[in-house]
Amino acid sequence: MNKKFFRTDTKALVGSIILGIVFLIASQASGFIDNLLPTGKAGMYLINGTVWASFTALIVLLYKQPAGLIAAEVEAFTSVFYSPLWVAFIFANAVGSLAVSFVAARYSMEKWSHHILAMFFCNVLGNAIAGVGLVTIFQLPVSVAIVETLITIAVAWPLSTIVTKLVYDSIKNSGLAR
Amino acid sequence: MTWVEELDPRTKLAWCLCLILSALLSNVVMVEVGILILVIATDCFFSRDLKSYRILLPVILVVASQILIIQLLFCREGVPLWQWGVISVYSGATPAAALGISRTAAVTFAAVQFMTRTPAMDVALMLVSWRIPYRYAMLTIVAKRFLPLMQREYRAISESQSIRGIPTDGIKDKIKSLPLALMPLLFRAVRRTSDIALSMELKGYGRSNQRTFEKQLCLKNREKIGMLLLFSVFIAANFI
Repeated sequence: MNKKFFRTDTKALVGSIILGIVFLIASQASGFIDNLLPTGKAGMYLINGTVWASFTALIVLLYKQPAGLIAAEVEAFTSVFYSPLWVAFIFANAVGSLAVSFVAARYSMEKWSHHILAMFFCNVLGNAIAGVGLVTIFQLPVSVAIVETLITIAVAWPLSTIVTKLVYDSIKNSGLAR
Repeated sequence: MTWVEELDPRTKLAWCLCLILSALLSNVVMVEVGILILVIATDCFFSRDLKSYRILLPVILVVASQILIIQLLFCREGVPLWQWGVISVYSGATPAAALGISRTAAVTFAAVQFMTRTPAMDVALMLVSWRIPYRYAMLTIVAKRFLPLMQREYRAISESQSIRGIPTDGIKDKIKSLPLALMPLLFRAVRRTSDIALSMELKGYGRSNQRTFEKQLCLKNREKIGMLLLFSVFIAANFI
């Protein structure tokens, strides 16, 4: 369990920072696209949610913990410059990352079902905390925040599962992440 | 180096946390606006540099429009002011939107003030002072160094994709081109990680448990008194 959960070598620590920055750039780019869509104007960041869940899972799968948490917090703290929900992201990113870690420590993450389970916990927990942010920071009515969160989970969960599995397999097959 | 940058990062963090928590705990628009004015005023007074807030204005404007639209559509507090089919606007929508927008701006500006006025090295030293191993604390400096490099790399990849004829004009094209730019960046980042980690280890990173720093953090007496006053004002304003 310990070996599957933790990895503290220099490569994992540096990887957490570098991939945390890539995570940030991807979130910025997808957030920009979401703002152009009508769903984004209504506060539902569907593409951004998918990218968020995929990167959270990918970093954990490649470098385990605490790299996943470091990358998640790099993204959360730097998102101050493009998203006012950064306070919620600090907790959402951490919880999402830990959720994937617990599933990855228990399963081999070679089957689709493992990824479906990991992304379910990651999306549900992460988006629930972001939903709390929508209520406390944006002052959205609770019912609207719940509906928006559920829609985001419904879209991001299947999409992020597919993206994570395909990208993780391609990185493993490329031999870059030994 | 300005006077603010010479302050201990723990003093700046205390100031930032007090402002953010006050903004989150308060439900009065004037308090949120007051915090916003305080952040801008302190920056004007101590550093006369407001460039960092310029990039925030478009973000705040987008969020403000989103909050206003959502509150007008979905808020059901107060009395109905206007109705058209299933859409009805209630009197509680505008105050709720004003509170949401001002709170968002106050929280964001306070955080940006801390991040732009605190050098990465100071953050690393602050983490070391909290007994976090230097192998982890020093990562803030790595992040600061590699953020502009990776952004430049992303722009170069995006430009090279558009030169190859990938359209990026409409929303559909932008969505389609997103993985085409992100995937090469991700692969490059994973490859670069190995090189950087190897070169850091060859220079002795993480070999010993302790390391020395050129700069030492030291909380001055006036900063300690300032922090005490700050916490007293924060508790009095929010909990008494």
